[in-house]
Amino acid sequence: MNKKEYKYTETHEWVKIDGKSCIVGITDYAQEQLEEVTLVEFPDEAAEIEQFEKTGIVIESHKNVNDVNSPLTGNITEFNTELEDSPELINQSPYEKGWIYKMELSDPDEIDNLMSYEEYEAYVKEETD
Amino acid sequence: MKKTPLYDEHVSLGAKIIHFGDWLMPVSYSSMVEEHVNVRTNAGLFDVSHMGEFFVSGPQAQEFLDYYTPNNVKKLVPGKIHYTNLLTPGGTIVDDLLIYRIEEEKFLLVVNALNIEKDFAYLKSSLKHDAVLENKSDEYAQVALQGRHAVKIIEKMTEKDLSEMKMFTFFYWHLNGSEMIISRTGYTGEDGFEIYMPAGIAVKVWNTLLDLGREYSVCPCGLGARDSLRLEAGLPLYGNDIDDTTTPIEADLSWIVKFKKGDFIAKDLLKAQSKEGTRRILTGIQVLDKAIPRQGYKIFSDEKEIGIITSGTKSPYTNKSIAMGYILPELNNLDREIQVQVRNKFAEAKIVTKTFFERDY
Repeated sequence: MNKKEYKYTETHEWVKIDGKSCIVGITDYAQEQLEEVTLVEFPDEAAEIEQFEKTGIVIESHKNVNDVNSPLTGNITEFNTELEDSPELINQSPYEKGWIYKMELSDPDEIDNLMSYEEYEAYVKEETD
Repeated sequence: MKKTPLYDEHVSLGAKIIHFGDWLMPVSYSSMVEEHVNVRTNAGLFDVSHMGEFFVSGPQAQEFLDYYTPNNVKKLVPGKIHYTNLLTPGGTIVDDLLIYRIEEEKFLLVVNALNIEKDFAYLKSSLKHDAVLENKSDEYAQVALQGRHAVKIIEKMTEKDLSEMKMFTFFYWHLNGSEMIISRTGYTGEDGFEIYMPAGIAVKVWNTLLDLGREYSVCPCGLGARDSLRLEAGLPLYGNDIDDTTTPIEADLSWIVKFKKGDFIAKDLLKAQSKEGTRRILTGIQVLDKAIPRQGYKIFSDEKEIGIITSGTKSPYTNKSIAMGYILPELNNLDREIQVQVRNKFAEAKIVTKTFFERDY
């Protein structure tokens, strides 16, 4: 894992891009804000999703209900169904065991719309100040 | 934005701060769940200085309060406290509050932070009696120490034996020349104390309680844990479970409505509701499927909508998905199978008593 090579969204998702396939999760900052994650709900069917739109995946913590937005347009290929029984993996290991879904991206140009690690760090700092 | 006298303490303890109405309040320090469980197993300290404090005094103070609230103020003796509601002429709830009888002709009213102005205006416009109403909310700080070890910490601070002190009673105590009221009350379902004091002494008292509480594993707790603790204990929250559209009969608070005490506001209407029934009743709900009920979710039975969730969470102590909500009274039977709509799905649930937690000591 090298989170410095990941790309980030303003809604605190990270994406690890490997050619056309990607893995998506939420950032350490996001899980800290949520506190204990109590439930992860996946949609019944994996569908095509648009960049920055809702994926249909919902993360609930004791505090509230949160949508997971997709960093990129594409087709979801796999959900991390382990999270259904162990939602706490998002808190314990947000960048590894707590990954949320895998997808095939359809437009590599969209990557330019995402933040680098350094840009995301600065973004979070601004949000917390 | 308003800050309590303890704001800087919260920041230095690393609290997450949220906006609660006009207030900047700590929502959690470590995590809501850890704080919640620590109150159930040890003790927790809450800053609730945002709550409002009114004083009503004078020869007709009792008569005034006894008319506008349904509990029996005449039976409240000095040194004692009761829970009650402030009611509109329509029998709906302006606020829920504690009344302390300080002296024969002097009462302390503790009201919700977000209702201070509304309550004060309502009481003031209703006051036609020989009594004086004062809003001292800005002068007072309030902290709550809750949990099984709370009594030991308060005994250490006050150097008093409190083993005989009953719930819903209070005493005066002095520190550095400041007078404070210490009552055996709370909003968590635990044994515990609430301390009302001049704002200037709050930091001293807060830090004293944290220091003395260290050997009992006391932790500072935010509004997050306060909310989940009160929900587990089945206590309503104004703005969620009760408001100025609900009556105490609908809110399952009939125990505070004392019809035999003489005349009081909306008595006939509430009596009719009590006799003939209401169109909804607040009840407890446990969701059995893997889903968390939340405020505003709809409740169904046999594919018909029968009510709405007013508070819900995954209970940190019991790990069950619990809620309160209003349903049709004729369907309010224990263990009845119902469904709660969670997004586009229907989660299986059942009706339970809303006391999800009861202390065992």
